[in-house]
Amino acid sequence: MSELVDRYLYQVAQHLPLKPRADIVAELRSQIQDQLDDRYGGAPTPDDVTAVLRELGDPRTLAARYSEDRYLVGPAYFPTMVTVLQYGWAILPPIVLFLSIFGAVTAPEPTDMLRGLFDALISAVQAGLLLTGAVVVIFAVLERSALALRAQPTPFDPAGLPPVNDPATVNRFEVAFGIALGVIVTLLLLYFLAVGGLTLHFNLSDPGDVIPFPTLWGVALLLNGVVMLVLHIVVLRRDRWDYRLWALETALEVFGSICLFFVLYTPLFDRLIASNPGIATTPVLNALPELVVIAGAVGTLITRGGKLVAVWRSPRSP
Amino acid sequence: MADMDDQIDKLRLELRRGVIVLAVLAQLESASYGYSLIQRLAERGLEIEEGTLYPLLRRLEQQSLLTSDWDTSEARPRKYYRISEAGRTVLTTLSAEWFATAAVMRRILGDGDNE
Repeated sequence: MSELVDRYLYQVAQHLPLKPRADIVAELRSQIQDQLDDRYGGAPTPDDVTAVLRELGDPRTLAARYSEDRYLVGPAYFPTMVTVLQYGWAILPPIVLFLSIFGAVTAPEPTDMLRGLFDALISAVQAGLLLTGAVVVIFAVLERSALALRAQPTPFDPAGLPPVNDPATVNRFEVAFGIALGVIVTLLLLYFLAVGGLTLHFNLSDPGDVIPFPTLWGVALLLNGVVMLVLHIVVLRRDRWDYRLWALETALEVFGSICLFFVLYTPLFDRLIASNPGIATTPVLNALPELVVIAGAVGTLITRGGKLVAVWRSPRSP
Repeated sequence: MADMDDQIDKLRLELRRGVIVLAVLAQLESASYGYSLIQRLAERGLEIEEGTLYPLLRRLEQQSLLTSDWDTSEARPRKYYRISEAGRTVLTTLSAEWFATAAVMRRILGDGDNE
């Protein structure tokens, strides 16, 4: 067999799935030889071999025809995944950037501002990449799990279409935002719990200046984030809210903001007071964490309460 | 003009895709290996590129429409394909579909200027 055929088959093999590779290559080898024998008898010239291989086409194109489903995330999930990533990149790197700069400004020891800014930018990009990895893995798992995003267990019935402006309709952007947020919170908390507190250096072996927080509240917030993530995936799959899911999401948001009081607001506020002791004696300002969490919880209840009632009254809600 | 040729090529490919499956199933009542099948189809007027047919045979086998066996008794081992029971069922159904569609298309294309 011609050395050129070996080179061709080697290239095809490089782009074939591992399992059927040997069998496909053996079959192709036999097919190429059949073709050479048929056209040119026992002794094909290098030009003859070239002509036959040219007809078979580019090795990568040929290999691709043997492979199916060679994608990580298919068309059913891809648009949602892209939305989640867009939200994630819009939220996470700016937050990390802001917190890093905040950390550098309020650090007990003076730091080189230029170096601080550079570190902040690196941390922001790292956080974005970590988020991308986690989101892609989640959607790849969804793609390969038994969950079908638009699974319609019952046959389509036009009469069963929800009314326009139905409160139970799922806003896919909102849910995608929720998934992005859930992944971000989970990732950040796993890291903070591993290094023992809030930090702006995303490096396990060198977390830098760590602001401790109560571990129990950290774990509670982590669980809250995971439940929120699962809830949003379930909602995305059902493609419809019901009052129980909406109430659960509201409860998780309120509970999350209480956890944030202990995990984020108070430790950061204590740090702020350490660098600016005057704040501790300024009325209103000295109760900033409490005010933020109360305003957040009340705002959540007011904005979500109306929809809870509407979804509860929605005719299709069980 | 090149654009138009490209477009026609793409449409021709789409048109042929299902036809090739039908032709392959119909020819594999007796076992055949890849290159001999290409020749057999070419003799009957259907030219198929090797790079199209070889992967298709494997795909139809994965879909259980074909079965395959390596014949290692000759100097060169060859993989022979043959239609399966499920393949026969599919072939029967698709053949009827093809004849019905061909009749309809003949009426539509033939009577196009009478509308």
